[in-house]
Amino acid sequence: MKRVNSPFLVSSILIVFLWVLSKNLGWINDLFLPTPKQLLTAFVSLFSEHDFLDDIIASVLRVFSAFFFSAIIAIPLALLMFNNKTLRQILAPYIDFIRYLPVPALIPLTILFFGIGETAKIVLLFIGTFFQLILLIIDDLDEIPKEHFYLTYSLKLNGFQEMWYMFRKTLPQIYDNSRITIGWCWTYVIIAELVASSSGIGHMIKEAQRFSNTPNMYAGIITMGIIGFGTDFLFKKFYPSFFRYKMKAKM
Amino acid sequence: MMIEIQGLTKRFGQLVVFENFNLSIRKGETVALVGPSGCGKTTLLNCVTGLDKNYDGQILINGLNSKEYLQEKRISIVLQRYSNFEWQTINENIRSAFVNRNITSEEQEKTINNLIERTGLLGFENSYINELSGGMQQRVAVARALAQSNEILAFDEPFGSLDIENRSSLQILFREQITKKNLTAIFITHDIEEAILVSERIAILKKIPSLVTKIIETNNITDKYSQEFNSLKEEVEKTLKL
Repeated sequence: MKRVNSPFLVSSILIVFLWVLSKNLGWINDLFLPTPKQLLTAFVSLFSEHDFLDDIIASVLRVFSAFFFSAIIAIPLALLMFNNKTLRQILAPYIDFIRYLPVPALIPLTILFFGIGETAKIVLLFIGTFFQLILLIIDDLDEIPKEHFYLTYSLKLNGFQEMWYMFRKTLPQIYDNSRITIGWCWTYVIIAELVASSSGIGHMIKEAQRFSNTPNMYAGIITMGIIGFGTDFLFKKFYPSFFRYKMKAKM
Repeated sequence: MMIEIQGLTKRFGQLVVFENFNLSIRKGETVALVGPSGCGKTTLLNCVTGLDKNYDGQILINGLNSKEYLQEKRISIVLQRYSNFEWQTINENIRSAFVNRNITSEEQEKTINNLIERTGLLGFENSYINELSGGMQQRVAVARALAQSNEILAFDEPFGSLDIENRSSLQILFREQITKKNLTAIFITHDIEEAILVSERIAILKKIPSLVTKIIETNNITDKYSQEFNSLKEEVEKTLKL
């Protein structure tokens, strides 16, 4: 039987209790914190009257498409940079430079180049994750012990095979890093949607703010948290299936 | 000669590891390298196997310059810190020896099964590396090196971390395969008994700049308790102390 995370359960019950108590005693104004009932009503209304599901789908699609493009470019490019010193010397400074740029600072430029459509948002998220992910993958490749290279050398593998073996060696770390970067992607999608969007969770929060609809704002924030938590949960859940060889106990 | 090291000079900055170092190894012969820690045994192995190409002097392998030889062929390497492909099963790890080689799947299967049996890994064919003990993991590395069928093997304290039983069985397997396939090997070890058991000749190296101070013929002694074995052991120990 699966073990229940009791400390989490107790703390969440405590939070709800404090929330109800503070509202009943009138400690916090409704403008800052809605009652549980108001929040529940907001959720019902968002899903039944305001197509909130479409907003969720829009945000999720943005995050996953941007992450998909980041990963399929970052992984082979990191392997190439790791294997080619000159390429690494050329690209590494640019990657480091762009990596330090705050993503919101790039919003005006992405709008200028790509308008306010989906492309601009995906490009923005791509910039936010690609440069982080590639650096993390190169770090993982740098950590491969030299014995691995001695082994692949002695097998006389060709360049492509050698890269494939490096990829396989670092795949569990790449998987973990993907979990982290997808979290950053969620931060950036909300920023992008808050500034220029007509759909998405961020857009809904911005609209709620315009009309001082605090319950809807909270509903949007909680939804984001749940999706992030769920993504993380799924990543962790599938780790043992993808990396069975890591889970086996030593004799 | 299968391997001829002629006038090898190797420096790490100001540190001179080898200066005009010479050593010859005949075809089908195993030479054990013994010497104090830091005398350059592993560096020598790296130069021969092509892992380190930055040296002066010449290394000839089968009459060819080592760089030329290594463009076509490889030397099987087994290190003390074993390295296997953790995402592959034992069977797949040994099979990786046949990558880019024209060997029929029947032949591959036969070699793998034989080596699995000989290395005591029977029943673990489909286990992953992480499921095995350190000794068993090292046996996989040895099995793969032997499956490669390269004409030269380079072993750098391969059995150093194993218990006596594992060590002994792998020493026997190593000797058997080397003799059967007429392979040439360089075997680095700190264990004098092991050096006698696995090699035809023992090259004793002194501290850097390293030189071969003495080469001792082992005459293929296998009986650890014989008088001849003990005298040989004493001779190696005495030379090492000089």
